[in-house]
Amino acid sequence: MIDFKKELENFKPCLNVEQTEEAIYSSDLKDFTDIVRETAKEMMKNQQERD
Amino acid sequence: MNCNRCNSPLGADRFCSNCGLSHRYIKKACNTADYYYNTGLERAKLRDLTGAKEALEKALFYNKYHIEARNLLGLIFYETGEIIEALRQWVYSINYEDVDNPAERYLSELQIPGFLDDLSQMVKKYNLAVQYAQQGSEDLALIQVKKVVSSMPRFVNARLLLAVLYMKLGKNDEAKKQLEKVLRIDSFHPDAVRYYKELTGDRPSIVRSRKAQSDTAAKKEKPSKKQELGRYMEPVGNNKSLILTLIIGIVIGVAAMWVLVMPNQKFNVNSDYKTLQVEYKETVAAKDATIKQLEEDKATLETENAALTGRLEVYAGVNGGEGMYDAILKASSLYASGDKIGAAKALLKVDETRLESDTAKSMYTKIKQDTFASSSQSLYDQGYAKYNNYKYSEALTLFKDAYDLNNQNADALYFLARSYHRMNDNENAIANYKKVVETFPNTERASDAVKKLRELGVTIEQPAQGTTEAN
Repeated sequence: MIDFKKELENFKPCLNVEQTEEAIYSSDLKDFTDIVRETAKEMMKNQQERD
Repeated sequence: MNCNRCNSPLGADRFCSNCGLSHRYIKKACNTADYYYNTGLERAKLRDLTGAKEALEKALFYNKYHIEARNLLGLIFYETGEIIEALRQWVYSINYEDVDNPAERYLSELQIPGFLDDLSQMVKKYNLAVQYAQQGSEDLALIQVKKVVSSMPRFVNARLLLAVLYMKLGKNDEAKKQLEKVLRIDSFHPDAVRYYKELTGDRPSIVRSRKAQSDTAAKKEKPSKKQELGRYMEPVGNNKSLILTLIIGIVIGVAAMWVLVMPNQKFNVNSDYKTLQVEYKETVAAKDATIKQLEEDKATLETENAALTGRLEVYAGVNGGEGMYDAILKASSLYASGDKIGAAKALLKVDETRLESDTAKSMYTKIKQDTFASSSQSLYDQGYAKYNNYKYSEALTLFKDAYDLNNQNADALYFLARSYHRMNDNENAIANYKKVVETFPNTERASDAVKKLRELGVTIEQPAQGTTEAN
């Protein structure tokens, strides 16, 4: 059975045209490599601090 | 050698200073991204746009600089009506690679005058529709989303919202239409498939056919010798053997029925008939017995009725006339007053055998003994006087009464016959003459009666000779 209210929660508002520019410039695209690099940096930083 | 990811030159140790990781790991990440890009591309070709989107997003997760994946993702967003998202991806793509990037062309094609304004309006309407729907104002949401769908027919989310609203309002046919349109755009959209299945109880045919295509593509279209389960196979050979088999089957069936079933049916019918026959006979016999009994009862009742009626007549008379006891009382009264003839006449109405009372019987007997004989003689004398005066009809009545009072009065009977003779009533005359001869044989009156009968043309045995008549 379809729960109307629950299904409606899945519908999110779309970005408007005026919000597009802001969304493009404010987003920080990261991929797997960036995450690994940052994680590695974090780990090295922590290691240095301990030392 | 350059880095696969950012295209920066690698160091001697194959370490990318820009990415900050060994090339070995970067290469693996890029290979993974390529794998997901290929998967996304395959799915996009099969119109599985949701699946393609997932794969391409994974590809971009492993390598955000994958231009092809990003461009394709933008195209998918554009195809499903999410123009803003498409624009975003293409802008990112151009930022990462601005040389020979198809994204430039995509963006330039969207720079139509008024396009972005219309788009903005539609997006606002869509967001308003979502807000109305979430607030419970389905009718208002329906109005807004219908406008969006009419302007942006490929906007999948808007169509899905419309379908959900229709389902909420009970318009399942309309909802089904919207879902079918969504599935034409995105064949494996999970929400659309789920809603469709909820409505119809079956997977949509578009999904089934696309899935069949994807399975075929995945298997590289190897020829299959096996038939699909449940698939009807056309019979090999001609149809004549089939018809012949059918006819033989029918003949065997009829023969089996004739041999096995019909005799049993006949037996059952006969058996039932005999049973019915026996029952009928028994019923008839019972009815006959009842009828016979009823007839006997009727006869008995009629006899009793006659007896009771007779008894009633004794007391109540017949047809309102005097009863016998009334006659006895009358006779008694007349007798007491000295009218013997009247008393005798009254007693003529009484049937002595039906008197039940001893008193009545004795009274009857007494009066009878005292009056009948003398009254008969008196009445004869009166009648004879009338006869001699040619008053035959009056004489007839007197002679009749005289004979009724005394049936041994031969003279009264003879002159009764004479009166009839005189009145030319030959029939009654003959009858009474004969009565005289029969009742009083070998007497004078019998001889006279014979003579008179001879005159009337009636021959009868002549009694002994008697005296001649007075006249």
